Amino acid sequence: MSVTTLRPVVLIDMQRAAQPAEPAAELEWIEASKRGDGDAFGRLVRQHQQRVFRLAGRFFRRREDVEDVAQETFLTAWRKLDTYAARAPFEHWLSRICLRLCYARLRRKRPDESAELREVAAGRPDPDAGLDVERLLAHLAPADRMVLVLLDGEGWSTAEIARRLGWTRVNVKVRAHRARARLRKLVEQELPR
Amino acid sequence: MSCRDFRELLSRISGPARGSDDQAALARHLEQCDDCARFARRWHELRRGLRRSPAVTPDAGFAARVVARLPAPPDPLSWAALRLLPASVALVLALTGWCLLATPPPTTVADELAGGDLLTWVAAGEESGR
Repeated sequence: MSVTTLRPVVLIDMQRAAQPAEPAAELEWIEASKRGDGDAFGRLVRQHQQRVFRLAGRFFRRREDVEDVAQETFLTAWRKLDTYAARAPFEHWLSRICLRLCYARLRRKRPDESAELREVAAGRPDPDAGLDVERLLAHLAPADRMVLVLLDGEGWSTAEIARRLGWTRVNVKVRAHRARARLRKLVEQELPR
Repeated sequence: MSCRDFRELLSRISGPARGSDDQAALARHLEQCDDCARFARRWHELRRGLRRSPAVTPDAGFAARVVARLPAPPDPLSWAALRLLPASVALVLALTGWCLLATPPPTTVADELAGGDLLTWVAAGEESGR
């Protein structure tokens, strides 16, 4: 077979690789992964890694933290693949795992308040500098921060957050209200005079 | 509208869905309050910061690193054996119980003598050359 006849096929494959997987292909990868096919699972990882990184990156700014959470998300997914019944998109199932891991990590950091977080929260604001969002968010309780970031950062609805986190809608609303009230106070305190 | 009301309203409602009445009230207050104008600028800055996409992205080797950490899939045979374990234990217990119930109790000299007398039994033994 000549090179000229191969080229269109290669081009089509490259285009396919850049596009999101079709649900049928994804289901095949999932089924193969359930049978222990690591290569198929690798394709699932490549398919969803951007979203998982983006989600974890909303809560942690250090690359090591984000990568740890992302790796743990996929490893947990591999262990629990048997429980995925394909009633909801795989992406939703994966994001639920990722969010739970983020939340657990945020809560774990809380008691001993890792040095970085403490530093961030205690940093003195520079009235002339731009707003340091990370420093303000560090003042919030993990659950409040999570809700606010998903609402305002990811643009999810209250119902969606409740569904993905397994919380009630009232709980989500209360936490959002509390987070905004706290941030409002912090912004007021730091208003340049 | 007081400054407190303005700030609460601004932080509670967000995005383009804000009602026109609220918009008008916020705008009226903004025109006459420099402090709240500064607050509004900071608040919008905060919301923009929240919406900004995180900078960390996966590198080219991420998927390979995950796949390298995957635990080996369980051996289907050993998994099947493990699933049959409770049934196997129940079967062994049932068989043991059945054996215990079905086996007649051992007979002893005392049982053989039930209703008789030891001396008669010995004498009978001697006569028969026991």
